Amino acid sequence: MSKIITIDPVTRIEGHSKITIHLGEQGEVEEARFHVTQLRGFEKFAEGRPFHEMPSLMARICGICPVSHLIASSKACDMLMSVTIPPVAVKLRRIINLAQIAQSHALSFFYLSSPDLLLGMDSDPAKRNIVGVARANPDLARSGIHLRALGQEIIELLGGKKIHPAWVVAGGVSHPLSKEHREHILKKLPEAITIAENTLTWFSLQLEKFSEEISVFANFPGLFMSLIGPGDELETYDGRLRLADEQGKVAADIPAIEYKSIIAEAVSLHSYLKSPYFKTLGYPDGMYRVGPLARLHLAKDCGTPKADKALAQFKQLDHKSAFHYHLARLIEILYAFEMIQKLLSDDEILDTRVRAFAAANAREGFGVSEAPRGTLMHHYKINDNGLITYADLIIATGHNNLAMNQGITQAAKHYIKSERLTDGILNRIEAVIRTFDPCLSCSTHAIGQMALEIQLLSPEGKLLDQVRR
Amino acid sequence: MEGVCLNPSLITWLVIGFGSELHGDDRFGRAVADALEKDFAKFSLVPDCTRVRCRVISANTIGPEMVAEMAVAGGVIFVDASAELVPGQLSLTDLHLENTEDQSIAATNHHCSPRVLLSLCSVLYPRTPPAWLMSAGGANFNLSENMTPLLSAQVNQACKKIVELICLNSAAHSGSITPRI
Repeated sequence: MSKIITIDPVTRIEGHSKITIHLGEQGEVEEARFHVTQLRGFEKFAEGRPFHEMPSLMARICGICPVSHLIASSKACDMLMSVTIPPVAVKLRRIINLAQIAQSHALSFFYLSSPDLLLGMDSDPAKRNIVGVARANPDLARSGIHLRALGQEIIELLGGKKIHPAWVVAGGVSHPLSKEHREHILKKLPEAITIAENTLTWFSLQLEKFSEEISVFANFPGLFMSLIGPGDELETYDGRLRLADEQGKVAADIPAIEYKSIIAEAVSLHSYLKSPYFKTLGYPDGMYRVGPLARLHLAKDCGTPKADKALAQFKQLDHKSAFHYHLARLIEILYAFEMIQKLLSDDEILDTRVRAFAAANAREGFGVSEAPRGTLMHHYKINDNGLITYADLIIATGHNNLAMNQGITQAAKHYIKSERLTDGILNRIEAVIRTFDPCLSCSTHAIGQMALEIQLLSPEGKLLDQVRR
Repeated sequence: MEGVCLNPSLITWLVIGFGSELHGDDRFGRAVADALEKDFAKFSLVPDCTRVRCRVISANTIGPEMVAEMAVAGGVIFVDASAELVPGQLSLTDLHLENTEDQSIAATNHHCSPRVLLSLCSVLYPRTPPAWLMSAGGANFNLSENMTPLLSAQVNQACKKIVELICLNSAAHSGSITPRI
């Protein structure tokens, strides 16, 4: 008799989803599925809109990572206008993207995952939250608050507001950086860099406590994908698109605009989230991972001293485990603030020529960047009037869809040994998803407290066991 | 950008209006924040209360990153729409008087409640500010950029009550304020 366990909704992630765990005749786990339960309609309702509206419109996809969509969308519009944007505009876009990565990673690590990492996967779920973290380790909580607040402040100073800034536009950015804002940010960076370093040191010492989780949290061979710089360095704004396996063997290395030559998208009946895959290996074997783990796995170096030191230690770890997304996030926070410091220290950053103006000069535009959660692609086509006729968005969370499904299957098989369910089991399966930090807000509006329920049902729908919080 | 009190004799209050601007009456807190912003620019003096300056924040959601600024504020007033109150009804709740010890409900997501933020403040910083929640009963929270006329009409009234509240309480609480210079 086969049975299904349902976790609905999954908590401490960005968005609404559920997990179903399918048991076989003997009660063994056969498969687990990650369902995104709400529909994103942006690709469709962008049709008919003027192309220059796309950056601001697409930023509304999400309140957590609007800057990422602004960047990818603006780059696609640059291409529609056939312009090369001013060099300082590229640097300013890089800075706001790095600030976005830092604040988003801080949210993921400190607010959403640190309750598990500090208090334990089996700790009281009523206290397993940011307030619980603050009580157990105030310094850690203050660090998270500080790093996220600074990332948001940099976005606000550059973009005018923390959420949905309209500063990144087709052709560059809308206005230059003021000297006062540069000095204000530069003054705050050293403390943030120290905090990021200290948190890295603390978390590195915690890793041995999680050896079991490391071994079964989406720990399997497979491909990793990210943008990569010309010297194989970490790249978040531009560069080539590279796929390589867990050993570093390159499977593809192409200009990002040629993504369709290697990536196709599958649609499954159980989720609104599409499943991109590497064409050469087919569906679903062409599964790959994106995001901080993939970026640091593929990068030879970061290009900033402190992050490079941390990366050297990171290279010693088993990158097959999704658990190491957490450490990768901390390294990228450190990298982001170091790189912002580097970019701001160049006086050219105050150059006032920050935008190229043009009408539409091409029918097709493609933009790519590294969002906090991985490679983000926007692809548009327009008609003679500059109106959108086609929009294709491949969101970072989508790239990870197949890996997340395989990851929760692995964890469920390891932890579920009977028909009795515990909160610790439930939390660990959710925690696999949290390592990827999926942003389902990119496909829905996710706000508010979520209840959590896991049910074990017979094929006839009879409730066999239930855990609720 | 931050709540720095440049003149120690001045008290900085925070007004945080929050909600979605795309869900009808849910934008009430934002509308009040915007109206207050027009009345007195960031850090300017509150009318008729020369010892107080006010910083207004308008946000989709509130989160822990606001706590550090709260900890040094003379007082904090959150403004939000409510689906629980009678449409058009204004309500003022003194959050400081309520028990903030067990705010375990905190964020299963990135969104927090005012009480969770106060609880975080009390754990992380040496001082928790006096705080209030001004709520207004909404009638429509569906997709819309406009509030219902009933709630729109309450924006000015809410602003007036907030200014009165600040002036009334700033003297009472001024002794506990540690200004940052």
